[in-house]
Amino acid sequence: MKISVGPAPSHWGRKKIRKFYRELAESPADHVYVGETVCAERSCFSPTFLTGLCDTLRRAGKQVFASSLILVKESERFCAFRELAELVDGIEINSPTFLSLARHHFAIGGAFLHVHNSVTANSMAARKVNKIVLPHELGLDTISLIAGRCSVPVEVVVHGHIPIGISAACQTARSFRRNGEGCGNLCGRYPEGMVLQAGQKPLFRIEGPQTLSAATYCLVECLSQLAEAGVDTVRILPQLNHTARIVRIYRDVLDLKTDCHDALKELKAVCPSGLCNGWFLGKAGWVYESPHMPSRRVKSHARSVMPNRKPLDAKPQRCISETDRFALKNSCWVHSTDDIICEVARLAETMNRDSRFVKELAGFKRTRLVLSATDTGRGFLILLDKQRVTVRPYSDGPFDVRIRASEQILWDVLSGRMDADAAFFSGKAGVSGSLITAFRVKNKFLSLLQKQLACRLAAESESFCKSE
Amino acid sequence: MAAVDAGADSVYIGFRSPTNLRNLPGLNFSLDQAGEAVRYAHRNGTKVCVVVNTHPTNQQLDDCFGAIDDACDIGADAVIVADLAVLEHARNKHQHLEIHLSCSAGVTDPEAVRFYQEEFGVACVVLPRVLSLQQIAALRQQTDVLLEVMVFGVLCANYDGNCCLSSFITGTSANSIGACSPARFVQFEETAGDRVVLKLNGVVIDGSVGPNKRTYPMPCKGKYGNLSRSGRLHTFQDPCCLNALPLLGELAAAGVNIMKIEGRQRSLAYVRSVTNVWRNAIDALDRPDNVTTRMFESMSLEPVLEGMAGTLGALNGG
Repeated sequence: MKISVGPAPSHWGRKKIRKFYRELAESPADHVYVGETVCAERSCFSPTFLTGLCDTLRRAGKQVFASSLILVKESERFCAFRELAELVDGIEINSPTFLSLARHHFAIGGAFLHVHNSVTANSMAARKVNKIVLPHELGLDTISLIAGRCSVPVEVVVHGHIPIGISAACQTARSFRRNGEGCGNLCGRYPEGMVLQAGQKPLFRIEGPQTLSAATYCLVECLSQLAEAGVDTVRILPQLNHTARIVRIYRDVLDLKTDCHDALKELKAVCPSGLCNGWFLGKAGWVYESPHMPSRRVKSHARSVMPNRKPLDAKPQRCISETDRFALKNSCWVHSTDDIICEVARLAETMNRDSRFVKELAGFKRTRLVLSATDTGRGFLILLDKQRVTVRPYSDGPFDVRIRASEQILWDVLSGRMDADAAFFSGKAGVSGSLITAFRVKNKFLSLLQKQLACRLAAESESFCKSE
Repeated sequence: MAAVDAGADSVYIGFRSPTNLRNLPGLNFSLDQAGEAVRYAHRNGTKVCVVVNTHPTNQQLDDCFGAIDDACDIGADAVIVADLAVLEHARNKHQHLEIHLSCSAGVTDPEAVRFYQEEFGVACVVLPRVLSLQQIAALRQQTDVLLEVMVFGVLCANYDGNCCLSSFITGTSANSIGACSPARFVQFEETAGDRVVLKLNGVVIDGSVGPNKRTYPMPCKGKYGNLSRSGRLHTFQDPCCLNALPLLGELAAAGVNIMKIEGRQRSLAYVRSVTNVWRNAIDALDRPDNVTTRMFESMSLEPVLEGMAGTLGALNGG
């Protein structure tokens, strides 16, 4: 998974913002969002200033995206944003006002576009939105469903003071009994917002017209579930200090260099206002609970260490979930080729029944994809023809594309754990036959297969947890 | 019926399901009731719009699609929709159905209006309650779509469709379930001296409320201690009711086509008196004494205003 960093509030002032992005340039963030999303009046993102930031970040290998306003009250804001859009690698659209710009720029649908279901997500995709940031209030179930069925990658906010509402009136000014006009940039005095307490409990944080959570939303313990759901990018929202360090912590957890419990301890030290993750768990947003990790799962792993060789028509055994694989950190366990065949055959069956997938497969005419395991010499054939997927064992015969790799790598590529390009370029997988067909298979079929798998794993993991 | 009798040109109704943003117990229409309502309204020359304006999750999509189909079956004149998936269903399945864009789609400027007009042929846009009169007038200059403005009723503190205050406290999304501060989370805790603590899902919304001031605990109407302002209480919004009657002439001059009164969740007497006053005020717009009449009419609405105070909300730039 990639890591992105959301836009820093521009009332920090140019000096703090420059320092912030200089530090971020050193961090392992992949994508960086810049711009004012909340209050047009206070924006300091002029084209010149933005160009300077872009230079710093691009030199460090980051992709830079400009985030739009959430609430647009004056029509001239459209032209101003269109001008900024020319300077960056892509735009994040936070208001329907800017949706028409998706035709001309690489566009990311922001979290404020209300994508609560996969049909809406695909409708955005059909209108040239290349990636979708899901609304903050969605739980894992909804995230999995959307990520599993959406034709473009999905990004989820995993860390930071999370936006809860945006008002027409400036709440910071209101607390001084002033209205937004001529506010004298009061919000600049509170770079981390003003904390509001409900009874004795810090609950909200007001920051200009926006309301954020008082606590820091933190999904560091849930990253494996997000990976399993098929989420492409996780987003960290900036805080005044330590953002680069937070990015590093998340990167280390994703790369399995740090245990998520150690990471949680480190994060608690740099997020003094406490943590919350309730929305992700389907609970009230302010709650923090450690996500449930059923211990019996480890037994299922033990059972799978010696996989049974079973014929295709046999009921496939429970395959180990991504959560376990993640928790067990690169265990020696691999899927046997037969397990993989069973799995792919089962997915193919589901795909054949689903009209959406069938439509996507229309472009393939008698395409034969062979996957051979180098360590066992066994292989299987996936035939894409007449909008159907057929899977059968393979020993010899003609093919259009053949992928050769170890069982582990084959499974990692099929399940989306490893990028197919990365496997090829790092020499872990060999491809013979037509490269053009290989790319088409990768872009169309593999991504569908991975989404289908993520969906099924999510559903399976849910029913498993219920049965516990 | 009360709204139709009192002279509304159109009325909006919702089905009894999580397909509209007032999915509260005891409110809304069953399919039979809705059919009857449409027949009654049409006999009296009133249009009926069915509201299907939640942002549904995948599991709720079929309900929303079904609500659109039902609205067509009972002969509704238009549907009010916010979500792209529902919009697409309405446009593709029912080519001739008139579509209005709900305020929770958050459309506030001509570019966004153009997008929804071109993509879905929306006939009317209900504006979120975040724009000033000047901003509405400027928008009017740049689009030919029918503009509908909320002029009376509940005033949300936040930009419509983007408020998760209730969701943050209770864990149920108002945007997709359709209910802000669901009743099952509400607690009134008695304290000394007849005072009560208002709680929502265990979170204190108002620490001390006098015996005659009990209100339904909405997060945006709560009182919170502001730690940066030495404990001063912060409210997102005063407990008052939007009443744009004093601006009726200006709204009409700005080119607003439809004045929307919040009627669901309200008593018959309320709906009857408010609709009546607005009907008379709009009919009186062409008469030379309309300013005096409006002042008088505005006075007569005060007993029904929530918190007994009226406000112009964002309309006057505040």
